[in-house]
Amino acid sequence: MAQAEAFETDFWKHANLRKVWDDIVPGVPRKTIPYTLTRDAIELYCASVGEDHPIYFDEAYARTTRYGGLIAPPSIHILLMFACTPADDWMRSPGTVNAGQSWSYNIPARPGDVITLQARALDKFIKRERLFVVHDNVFFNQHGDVICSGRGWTIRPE
Amino acid sequence: MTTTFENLGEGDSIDGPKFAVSRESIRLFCDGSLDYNPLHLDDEYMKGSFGKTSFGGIIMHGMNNFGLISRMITDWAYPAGAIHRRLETRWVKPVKPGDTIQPTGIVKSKQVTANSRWVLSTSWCATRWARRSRRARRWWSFRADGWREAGLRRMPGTHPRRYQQAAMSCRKATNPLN
Repeated sequence: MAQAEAFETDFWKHANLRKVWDDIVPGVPRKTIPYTLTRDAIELYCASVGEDHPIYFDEAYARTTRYGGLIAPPSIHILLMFACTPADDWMRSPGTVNAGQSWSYNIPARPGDVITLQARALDKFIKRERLFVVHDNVFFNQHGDVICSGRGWTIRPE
Repeated sequence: MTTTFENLGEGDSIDGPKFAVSRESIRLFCDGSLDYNPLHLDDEYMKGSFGKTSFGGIIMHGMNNFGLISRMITDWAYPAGAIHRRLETRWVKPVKPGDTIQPTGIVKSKQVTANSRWVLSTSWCATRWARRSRRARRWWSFRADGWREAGLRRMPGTHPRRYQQAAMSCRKATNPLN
């Protein structure tokens, strides 16, 4: 669990630094940080959703596939969203409710990749008195190739 | 039966393994995803309401559903020589500790584009048919190479009418590929 230990798991800690709905400006890029994806991180994520396909774990098997080596599951962006953003990112505001997400996949992330994220709020609106923000995100590897891109809807706590 | 783009048909089903949701499984997903929102950890916080929402207790991450559906489709797609290309999700109901959920997918349609062949399906994670925790739509593409054996079967106990209901629900949503 080395990965989790190095990460600030108390989402209340920087809560006062995070933008509330009123302060989020659609179109303004979010601060992001590069993240090196490790086999340990992939395996921990896989364990959390029961992923057991050998293409994520067995290097000898993975070399025989079209990918020629180990890859991460497509849904690894779930981890990358938090790994590539700092502690004051508004996605970590306690009470943020995820209303849905859509993702397109280009190439797989691989262990050892240095992942970068380009992200922003795209839109915000009020529906049934709830404060929504639409966010869009693109993850790249160290070669500048798009790994995946996605959009999500969150209900803001304030 | 060898799965090919040609022999896939509307109503063909795919299902993933059951997933028992517990406080421990939710905590493991916190560690796996780095999402430590108190929605998933803090009983006291979840007794209250916030942002015009109230759940009465901790809930599973919505993206845990996403991961389970993604796992189902890649486990199906890899041996069929297909590539998982897209997943669109909406959360319908919260999932809580003690629930057992199971992802299910149904082939809705196929489409050929300039350089690819696509299969569209509608999926959901549910504790039972009447209570979908989430509905999702997936696209995955087929390539001409790498065909292998893959089992496709009808979902036991399901009725064709349910397939139609799923497809109709899908048509109501925005489809960026249409």
